[in-house]
Amino acid sequence: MTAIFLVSIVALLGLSFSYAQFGETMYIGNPAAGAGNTVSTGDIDPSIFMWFGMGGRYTKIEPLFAYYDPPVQSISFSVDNAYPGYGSSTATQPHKMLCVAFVKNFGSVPVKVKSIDWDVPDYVQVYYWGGDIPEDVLNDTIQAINESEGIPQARKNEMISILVEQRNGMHVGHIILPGMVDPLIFNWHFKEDAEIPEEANFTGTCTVICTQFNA
Amino acid sequence: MAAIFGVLIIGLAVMGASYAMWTETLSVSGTVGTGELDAEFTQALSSDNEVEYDVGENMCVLSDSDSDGDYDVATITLMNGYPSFECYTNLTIHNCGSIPLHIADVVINAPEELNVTIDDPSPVCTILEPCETVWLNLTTHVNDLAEENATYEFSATVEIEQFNA
Repeated sequence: MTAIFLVSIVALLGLSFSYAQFGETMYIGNPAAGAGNTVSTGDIDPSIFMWFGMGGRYTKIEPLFAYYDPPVQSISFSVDNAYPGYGSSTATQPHKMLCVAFVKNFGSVPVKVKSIDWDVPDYVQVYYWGGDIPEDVLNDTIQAINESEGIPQARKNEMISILVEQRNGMHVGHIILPGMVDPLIFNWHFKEDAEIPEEANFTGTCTVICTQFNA
Repeated sequence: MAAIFGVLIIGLAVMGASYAMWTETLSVSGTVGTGELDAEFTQALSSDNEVEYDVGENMCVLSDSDSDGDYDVATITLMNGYPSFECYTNLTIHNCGSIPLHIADVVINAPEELNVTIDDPSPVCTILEPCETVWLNLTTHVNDLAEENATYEFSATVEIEQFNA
């Protein structure tokens, strides 16, 4: 009887081994162990941080210069005492007009300029220099910045260095890398042959839409 | 009288001896040494889909969570991600046990902002002999639902069973 009992114990042990299952778990990210997989996203943040507006002998642009800290998404400027023919030149008096909005990508992901849309009256012709800045426009702008009064010299140097180093104006499809500056250079020309109301006001807008670079 | 009683006692003792049974004990003992089911990650490679602009970063680090000498945890980290950023993680699963193993499943748990998928060929249902390895390739895709400056977590578990389970 004793012998039969011992043999049965061994048989049961054998059975239990055959029905057990070994298991192993491997983890790809194990939050319980303080090692979770994480995905952190960056951001796009193109903002205007500096403005330069050059007016003519009779027509003034305000502000002449502005530095925005913190940077902004929207700015406004005024053109006072405009007339037909104003803006026909970017450099020569008395009609010269040139504006530069310095846009910097403060985000961590490159942005692409998706669109640049202007909303101005029919009697205003918009020019903007996207891509390579023509040599004469570049020189005129640098000269205008240097001759402008009331702008701190450090800011003048900053604007000029941006223009000289990049030699590139904002245009659709341009990629602005994180930390890089892209100047939007434009001119409003009040047409000579158009009916321009006297002593009138209008608000023109420029809307620049930027997206992530791979959109 | 006392003598008769003593003789009876002795007689009964002799009879008792003649009715005793002999016994013998037989025993069977077995020693069973079981094998080990064990798996580890041995390689972790990371790459991404960036070509022109190298903006996002990714890495994969292996660790030993139970101090048994095997890397049983792979931790993937993506930084500065953005919609359409993809990270490719290539892991090798190595059978470091003594019996064949069966990769029963890979269970992924990810938020809706991420698409985490197993690339073909999937190692699920693969049986690995001891010392054999197989690749587990994961793609982590940041989709359009991702917010800026956000952090998302995901995890995946590789369920390993003995080969004959």
